[in-house]
Amino acid sequence: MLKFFLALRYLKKKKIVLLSIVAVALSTALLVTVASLFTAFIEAIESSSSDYLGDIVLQPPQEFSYSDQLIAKLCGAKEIAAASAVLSTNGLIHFGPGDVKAVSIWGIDLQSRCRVTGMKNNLLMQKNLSSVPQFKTDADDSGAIPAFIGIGLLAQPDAKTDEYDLSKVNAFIGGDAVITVGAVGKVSQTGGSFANLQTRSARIRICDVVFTSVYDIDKRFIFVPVDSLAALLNKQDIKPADVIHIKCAAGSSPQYTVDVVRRIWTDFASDRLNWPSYYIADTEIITSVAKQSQYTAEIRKQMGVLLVIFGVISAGVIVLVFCIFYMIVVSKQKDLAIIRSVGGSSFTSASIFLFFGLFIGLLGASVGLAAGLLITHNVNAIERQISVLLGLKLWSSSVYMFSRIPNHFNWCWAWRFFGAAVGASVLGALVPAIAAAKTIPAKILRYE
Amino acid sequence: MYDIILPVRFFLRRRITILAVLAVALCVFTVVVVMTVMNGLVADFTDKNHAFFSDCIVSTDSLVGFGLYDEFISRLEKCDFVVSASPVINTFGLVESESSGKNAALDLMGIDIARHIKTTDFADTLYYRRDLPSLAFEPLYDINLGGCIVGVDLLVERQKSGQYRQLSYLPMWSYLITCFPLTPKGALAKTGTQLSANSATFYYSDNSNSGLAKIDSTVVYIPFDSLQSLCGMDIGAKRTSAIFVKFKDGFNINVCTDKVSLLWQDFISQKSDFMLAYLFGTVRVEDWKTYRRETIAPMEKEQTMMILLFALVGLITVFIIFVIFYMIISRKSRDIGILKSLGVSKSGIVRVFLRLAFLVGICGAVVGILSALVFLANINRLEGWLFDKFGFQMWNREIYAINEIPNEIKPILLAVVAACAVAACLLGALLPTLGAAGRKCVDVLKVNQL
Repeated sequence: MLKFFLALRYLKKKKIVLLSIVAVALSTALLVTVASLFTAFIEAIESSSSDYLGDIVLQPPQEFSYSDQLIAKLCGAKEIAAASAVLSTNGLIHFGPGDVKAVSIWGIDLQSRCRVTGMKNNLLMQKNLSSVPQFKTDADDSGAIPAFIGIGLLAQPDAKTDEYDLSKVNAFIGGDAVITVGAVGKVSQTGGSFANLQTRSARIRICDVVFTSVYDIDKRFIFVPVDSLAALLNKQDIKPADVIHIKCAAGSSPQYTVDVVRRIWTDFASDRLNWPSYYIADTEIITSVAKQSQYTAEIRKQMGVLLVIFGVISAGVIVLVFCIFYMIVVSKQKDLAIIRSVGGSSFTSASIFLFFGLFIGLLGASVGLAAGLLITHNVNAIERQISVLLGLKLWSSSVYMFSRIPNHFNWCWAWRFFGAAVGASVLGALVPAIAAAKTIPAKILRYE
Repeated sequence: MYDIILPVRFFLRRRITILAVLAVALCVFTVVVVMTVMNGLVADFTDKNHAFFSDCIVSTDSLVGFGLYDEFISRLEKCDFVVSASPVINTFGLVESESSGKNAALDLMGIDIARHIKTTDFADTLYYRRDLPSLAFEPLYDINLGGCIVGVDLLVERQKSGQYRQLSYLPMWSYLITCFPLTPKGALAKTGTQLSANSATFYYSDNSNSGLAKIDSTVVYIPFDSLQSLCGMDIGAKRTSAIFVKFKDGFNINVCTDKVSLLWQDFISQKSDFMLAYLFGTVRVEDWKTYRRETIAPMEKEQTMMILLFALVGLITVFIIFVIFYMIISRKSRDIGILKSLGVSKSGIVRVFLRLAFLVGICGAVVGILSALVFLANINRLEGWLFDKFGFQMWNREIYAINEIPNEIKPILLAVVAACAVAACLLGALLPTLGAAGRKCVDVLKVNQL
């Protein structure tokens, strides 16, 4: 009881102790915030990838036919909830006078895609409808291909607020644009026919706008019905596709389901497509999270390096606690000698300072954790205030992909740093505690 | 004299000062290493931008471009501060490989190679024609074919070491390049669904490694005249998207850019009756850094953020110095009492301890800087060793356009960091020192305090 009492008393009486609490709190807050923001960014990349590509991506080395049959087989497996085919190409789009952009065009089946991905939630006009979204507008679409267009193709986010002018964007809906794609055509000549590359153009009508909040997707993608794109690309195959996106059933792990997908794909490609085994083996079947792994691994590495740098400097807290405690031990030698003279053991003297270190660690780490939590949760508001007050826009979707700073607080890292901060405080208190334990009352309390 | 002897004596005798020196050294070491690498990355990036975009750019964002560029270039080249100027077309195109059938929508850059290599460092970015850059659009396998230069990341694989796996020979690859031809009003020059685009075939003649990842992975360069006709910039009057201008050495870029701006204003006022004069309205005259601000600014912001974070962390060093000095002074209260009883003034006491703080700061800075210099001198060797042994790379060279970790020491950075270290020590020591100076010798030397 005496140990607690004295530890608490020193905590209250010695103002310099506040300094060590502030230092522990500062270090903890910094490390917790950095770790949380980095991990939130990585999680945002992974979740946006799943949201956009489904759980698993199947990408053969070349385009294939009968994608509807493959999807039926995939959906027959209990581990798979839905699958959707994509036919993709690149092209140019002309919106109006002087307005040409490079685009990636995806031919999709909207119904299955909405089951596999969160596409519906990303549509500006149709996200609140109870029914499945459709490639339709109120306007007469005489021959134009209906299309969904990424918001970044229609407007640029405001330089100061990083937000889109939605009224300007909505004005495009129902409007037309022209796309040009490369297609393989057959030219007949004497002696037979041969394939050659052609460019083909088509008018599209903008039915809706896609706003995923991922800048690179929003500024580059156009979605059209897969059959329309196949016709534009002059595809002779039945139900062509070059990628399949797959959603796992509830409770099925994507890593495990990859094997199921590979088995179904191997059977399909050898039986239906008559592909040789080496070609089938060349097919990439990977979880959407793993698809981003090279990039996320780099971000994790940067986070690790940054945490090590800040961690090393924050280790100065140990020195700080050591100095403060040593000072207290020196100034409280008489108290310690009295404790020893009334029967207190060396351990009692040492544990006063170890408890004291523990209190400081717990208090500082708690304050730091709370500050880290507060900063992380309000990081977007803080960034906005800095932008308003200093005119300095720190976060921009065109640079950091997302329109908002991902701010999910990472409790796992927070507890690690909490533990490390408490440990560092106790460690800093260790040498002074030993010095306290070695106090010899006869020497300290003698009169001369 | 006492205010010189005592600080040195305290510094040498008190073991706790070693702790203070080490804390300062650690902080200095970290800041010097991180800031050298960070500054190096930013400087490398800005230098590459400067080399690629020349000193000054007269440009428009509109894909329609602006006319009379030849006449303005002639005027520019008569100026005593201009070395050369090069017209450049920036547009988008669909690039299809005729061998693989694969296609990609990419940025197209039309350049007049003879002018461009005089105006920018483009020649240094080439691989096959580095020695004869003026022939860069003439493929080595057949100089009569129309050539195109492809951004290195579009074609050449980058190894983990950061080196590109260049082929020893120039392969004969052809590309069908398609553009939307636009009228001076911006409308499609060709209408009808089948015929709205222009196409032409170009043969791979070289690749360009500018070191700017976004450019090397998205840009295909073709001859200026060819792109001008592909994208319709020869309809009505010949047009361009930009003019890159190089100034002579020794001339201030900002001053010269202002002169070009005045020259441009003068030019367009004289040409107000030109049929496409309305296109001049969107043209801007900027120095290279302003032209590339959207790309450079985020890196500079990150640099600033890093400095702020280090300032925050440096606060802990100030705390440590404060506590150590508090400790030293509390143990030296008798010495202070004796000094004061001998007639030493308050400022004398302050001098003793601030000089001690100065010594701690200087020694910490020197130790930190020396260890940082040794570390930086070996940083690439260390990374190479880590990569060989454990496969660890600070930056994956397949992803980042970095060759070596920058380790060029800037004396100004060392001076600033050392000054900050000393200032932090003085700041940390200030309060305990003032407390010591304020003590009265009768209080300190009374018998129950001894």
